Amino acid sequence: MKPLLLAIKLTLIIAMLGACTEQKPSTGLYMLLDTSGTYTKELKKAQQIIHYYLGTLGPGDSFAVARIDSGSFSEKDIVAKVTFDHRPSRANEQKRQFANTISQFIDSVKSSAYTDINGGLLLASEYLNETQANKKVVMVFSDMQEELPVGYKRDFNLALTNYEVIALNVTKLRSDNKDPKMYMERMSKWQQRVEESGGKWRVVNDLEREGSLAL
Amino acid sequence: MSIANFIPGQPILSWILAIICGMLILYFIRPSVHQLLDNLTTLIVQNLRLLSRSLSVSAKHMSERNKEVLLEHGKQQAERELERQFIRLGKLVEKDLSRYPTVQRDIEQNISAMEDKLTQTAVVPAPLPEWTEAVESISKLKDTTKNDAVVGKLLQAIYEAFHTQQKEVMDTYKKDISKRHNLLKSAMNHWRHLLEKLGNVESHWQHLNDQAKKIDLQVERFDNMVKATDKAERLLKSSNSTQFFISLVVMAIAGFGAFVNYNLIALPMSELMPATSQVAGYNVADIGAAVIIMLELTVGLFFMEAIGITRLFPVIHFMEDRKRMIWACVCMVFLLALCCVEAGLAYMRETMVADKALLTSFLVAGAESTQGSQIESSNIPMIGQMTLGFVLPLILMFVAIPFESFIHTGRHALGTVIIQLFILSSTLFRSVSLFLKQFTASLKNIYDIFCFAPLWLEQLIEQRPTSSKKNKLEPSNKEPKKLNQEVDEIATPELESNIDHDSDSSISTPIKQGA
Repeated sequence: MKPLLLAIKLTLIIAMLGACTEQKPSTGLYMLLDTSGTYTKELKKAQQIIHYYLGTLGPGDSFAVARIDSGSFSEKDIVAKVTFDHRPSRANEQKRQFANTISQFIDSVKSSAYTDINGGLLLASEYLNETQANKKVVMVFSDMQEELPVGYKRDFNLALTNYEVIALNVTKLRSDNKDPKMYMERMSKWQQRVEESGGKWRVVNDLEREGSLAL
Repeated sequence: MSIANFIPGQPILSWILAIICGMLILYFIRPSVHQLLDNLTTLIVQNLRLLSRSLSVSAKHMSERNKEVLLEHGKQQAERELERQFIRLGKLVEKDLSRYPTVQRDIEQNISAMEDKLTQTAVVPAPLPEWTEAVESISKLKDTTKNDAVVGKLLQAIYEAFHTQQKEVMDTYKKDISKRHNLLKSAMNHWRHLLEKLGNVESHWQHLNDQAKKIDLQVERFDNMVKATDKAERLLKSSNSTQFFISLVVMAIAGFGAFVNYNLIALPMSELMPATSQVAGYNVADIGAAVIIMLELTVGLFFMEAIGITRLFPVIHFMEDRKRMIWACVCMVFLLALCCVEAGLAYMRETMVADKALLTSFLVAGAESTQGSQIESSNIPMIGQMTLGFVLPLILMFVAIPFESFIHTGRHALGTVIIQLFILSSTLFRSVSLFLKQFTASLKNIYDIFCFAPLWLEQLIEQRPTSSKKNKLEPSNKEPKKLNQEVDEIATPELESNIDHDSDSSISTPIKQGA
């Protein structure tokens, strides 16, 4: 009788411990790289940022890099994606492979004629929802000037509740220099779109500032 | 409507009227207010005193219990010391007794050898030949016949023969003497040997005597503890406090050691356990590392218990010796296994750190930079970490000794602190109750100031018909006495019950008087 009671007690303790066990809060990061026009020259900076996040993200976190081209709402535009293994050694190996893939992409990227940022954002939200990460961050490495090919419609509603959208390295266009109001209107429009979708909006242009890239 | 407009156009009169009315109201409700104040004070004061008394009683009980615990612990220690002394003495006696037949044989052999030598030295040397006397008398004859060459020659020959004989005898005698001296000299060695043996026996007996004296002292100490004398308690208290602080310091040092050990294995544990899981906000890997260290400590405790150094677990301590040794061996095997696991984890940690460094340099400077850093790496940190990983659990095993001391002495130390806190709280409650009583008396006096005029009139009226009513005002003079009583109560809590009745009556008296 006593061993039986002991076994029941042990089972209960293990069950309680199991119930107490929870998943560590994970981060999902989706980075959109603008490959339109002359912006491809900026991609080396993007590579450094990707390397920074590869060093920062840990086991259980998800990371994906996708390109923004004429029609970005396509899985083909995802350059690399990974959910890091819970074993640090395996996660390090995944990071190396990821870095190599990004390096190859940046060396061989070709400019696209148009810039479909909304399609990229939709793809990012789908991916991050699947990862079930606690913290979801979308980074847009672009000048935020959207140009859609004829026939493409991007007037859908984005579901970005609990998302943080960070616009990185938003370069000023020639037209912005002539009329800065255009730049301000553009940024304001994006901020409004993200915030209306339930997300948080942030712009980071000074990439060297300490803490600017902190998640 | 303001007070100044009670009588329109007469603000001063209005104020005077208001003050007189106020005074009259205060005078009429005075007994009720005084009673209310007294009742409230009695309620609070009695509760405070009850609390204070219960705390005092608890402190007394705890003190007695603490003393019992202290003496019991002291008795246990004294028993252990006595047991150790008896074991030591038993071994000593056993060792000496087993040696005594040999010593006795040795002494007897030496004595018989000395007797032989002495017998040999007693042999008398051969006497001189008897004819020497005849020759001597011939040689003394007077030379009566002159130029008697024959007699001269004869005498000369006798003389020479005599001298030769004497010389030979002397030589023989000297040889005998020398031989006897040599025999006596060789007997000296036996004497020395005998002396040494007897000296050894004496020192052994002296040692035994010392041990017996020590045991006497221990028994006396034990006896004092059994009788629960004040001297024994004082000695135990001082020894207990010292032991407590020493064990506390050693345990703190061991705690730092455990912290170092934890940091050594926390990172590699993330390779073995899911790094993405958490329990109560802590990583499962970190908890796993802490559990390994706690297991090492537990196994170390069991090992120390099994070899008889500590006495924390009676089940292990009262095992048969053979079983206990088996248990100790099992514990040591587990401990060594855990040491090996830690050494392996330390190796893994170094590998992980190197891999992380390689990844960082790869991400920062590209693939070329990683090759250079691989060449520069050294094995010294890895060997150091592995050694630490193996040795630290073995060192932490010894924490069982201060831990036992901490457990035994901590109980008494904690009890003492609680007793002091109880006494302090009791004193505070008594002080507060005293303060409240005085405060209420002051409040009543202040109240009386606000209705001084009616009171003065009342006093005048009361003084006129009889002078005997003077005594009614006397309770105010009794206040200092009550204060003294309270001070006495604090000073002598033993007399509480008697004083409580008095003080309760002292509280009720002004109420009656006020009413």
